[in-house]
Amino acid sequence: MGSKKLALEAGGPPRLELSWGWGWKQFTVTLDGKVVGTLDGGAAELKRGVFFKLPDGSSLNVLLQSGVFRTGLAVSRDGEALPGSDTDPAQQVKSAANLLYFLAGLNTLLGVIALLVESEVLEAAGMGLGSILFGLVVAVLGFFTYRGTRVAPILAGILYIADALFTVVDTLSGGGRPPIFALIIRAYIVITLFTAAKAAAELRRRDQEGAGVSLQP
Amino acid sequence: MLCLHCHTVALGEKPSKRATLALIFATVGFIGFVPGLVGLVLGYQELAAIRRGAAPGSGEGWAVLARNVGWFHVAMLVIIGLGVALRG
Repeated sequence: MGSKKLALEAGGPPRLELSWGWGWKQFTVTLDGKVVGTLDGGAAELKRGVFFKLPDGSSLNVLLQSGVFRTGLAVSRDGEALPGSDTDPAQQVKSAANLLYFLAGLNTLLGVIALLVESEVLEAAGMGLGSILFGLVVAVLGFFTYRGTRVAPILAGILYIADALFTVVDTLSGGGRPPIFALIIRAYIVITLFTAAKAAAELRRRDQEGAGVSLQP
Repeated sequence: MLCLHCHTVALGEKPSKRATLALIFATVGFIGFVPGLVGLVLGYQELAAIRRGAAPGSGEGWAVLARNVGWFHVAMLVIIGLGVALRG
């Protein structure tokens, strides 16, 4: 039903493969093509967390995290999140930055189409030059998010909260019903961005710890 | 081609200036789209350099993003060109 390949260290080859069937059953961990462990308890067992002993003696922990908007595998080795896993802070930051660039592109595309084509639907949705400029702002925030700053995803999150509030107020004042689906999408965006802000802070903390160690005699 | 250890060490370095510039141009490309073409070219150049081992591997993500956003800008220029041509 699914599989995921991960490296054991940053920049390393993706030696570890996790695969699973329907309902997270037949969960198999393979390292360098050799099976390390399997379990058939499905989601219930994975949610409790499972440990596997790797050939080099290190301990691999796999935990299924499911919450609002996201289901993912937290994979760590001796307590450190594996690069590329759903809980790896660097991966969370990259995901948020990619999301921002995607949103920038979407806004820009709709804005350009609105300018080229006379569409009542797009006009009513407020698409046009404004959405192109919005796309630029979001792209810039995406750039700084990718650089690992904490402020950029927070600002982007605040921007989308404001956008959501404006949408609700605008709809209600027009006598319409709040667009629930659009609000759910915005909630997902905001959660992703604030998760990235937290992840950026964690990366900075690790960098500072690393710098501190190197300065010690 | 770097050995695995060297590649891992190289990943500890910051992305090269070209990788950073590629993404900057790709981002600025949201104004007018043409700068995005520069980002696209720089992105491809950086990826080639990384594969040769001539640039830090940490820039790969930057270069891939710049390349992808650059292609978006190419698509936007095509859409605008078609739109203007059809209206004309």
